[in-house]
Amino acid sequence: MRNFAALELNADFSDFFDITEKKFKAKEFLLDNVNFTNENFQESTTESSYDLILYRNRLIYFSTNLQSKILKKIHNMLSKGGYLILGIGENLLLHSDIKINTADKTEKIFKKSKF
Amino acid sequence: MSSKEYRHIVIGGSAGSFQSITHLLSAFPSNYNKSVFLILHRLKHVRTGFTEALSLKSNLKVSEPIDKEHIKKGRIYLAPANYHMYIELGNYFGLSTEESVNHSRPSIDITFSSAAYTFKEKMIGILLSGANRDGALGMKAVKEAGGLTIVQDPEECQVRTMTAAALEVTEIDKVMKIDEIIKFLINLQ
Repeated sequence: MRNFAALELNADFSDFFDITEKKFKAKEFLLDNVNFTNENFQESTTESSYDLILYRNRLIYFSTNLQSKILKKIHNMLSKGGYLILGIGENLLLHSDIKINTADKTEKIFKKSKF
Repeated sequence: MSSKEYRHIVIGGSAGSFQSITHLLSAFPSNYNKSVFLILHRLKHVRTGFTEALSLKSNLKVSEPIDKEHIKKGRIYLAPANYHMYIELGNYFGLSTEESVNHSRPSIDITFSSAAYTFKEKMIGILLSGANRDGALGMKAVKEAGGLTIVQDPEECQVRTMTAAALEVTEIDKVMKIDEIIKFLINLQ
């Protein structure tokens, strides 16, 4: 709720979440624009482009080679200026061939260039 | 016959161990040629500050490894907050976000077990003051793989739970006070 307050939106927290006892539940309407799909990154090829990809604490379980394959796919899936966020303990140091800039070194936020 | 040369020192600690660690770090000579691993129970979401605090006292570089980083001699590696730190065959680090073990992530048991598997008799496992049993089974793994096991004297520990638990589970090679441990490690070289 602190993070929500920091956004300074012209809306209340309760506009987006149902608050019951000690739980917050996201309101149904937030799912209207959400698609859930099952994809195997090793196999699938997707034409879509995304503005934000959160791929946190998955790469650590893969060999460097597989990381490379997956990162190339992710790079293709990112729109120009799109963001990739990794886990705090992860990095792209072994993948200098992936052309992506570091937007925030501490939070592991990377940004595909706009050009 | 292979000489019994210890190359890796793996140290686990929790409540009451910080001062012992800083004493140890300030005692290492700058040409110390072992690799040193610290698995210290720490606040989950506090990601910076710990390495810096330890670096102040240390003559060797202190860092938190990143996934797949290679292990070098003469370095101090601190397990990062909220990850388990594995030591993999080929001498590199693996990080994991699996469930906490003994309510801890990083867990001492996990690093000790993987280090025992990778380093075998070339390592020393050391357990310091702490308030839970994390590390007891890890020390057993070190012993069974042929490594040397040292526990800080429970009488000297601020909290004796961790060291006492290790002594219950395995026949630990040495029980020492922290000053003796430091002397022993310095004299390895």
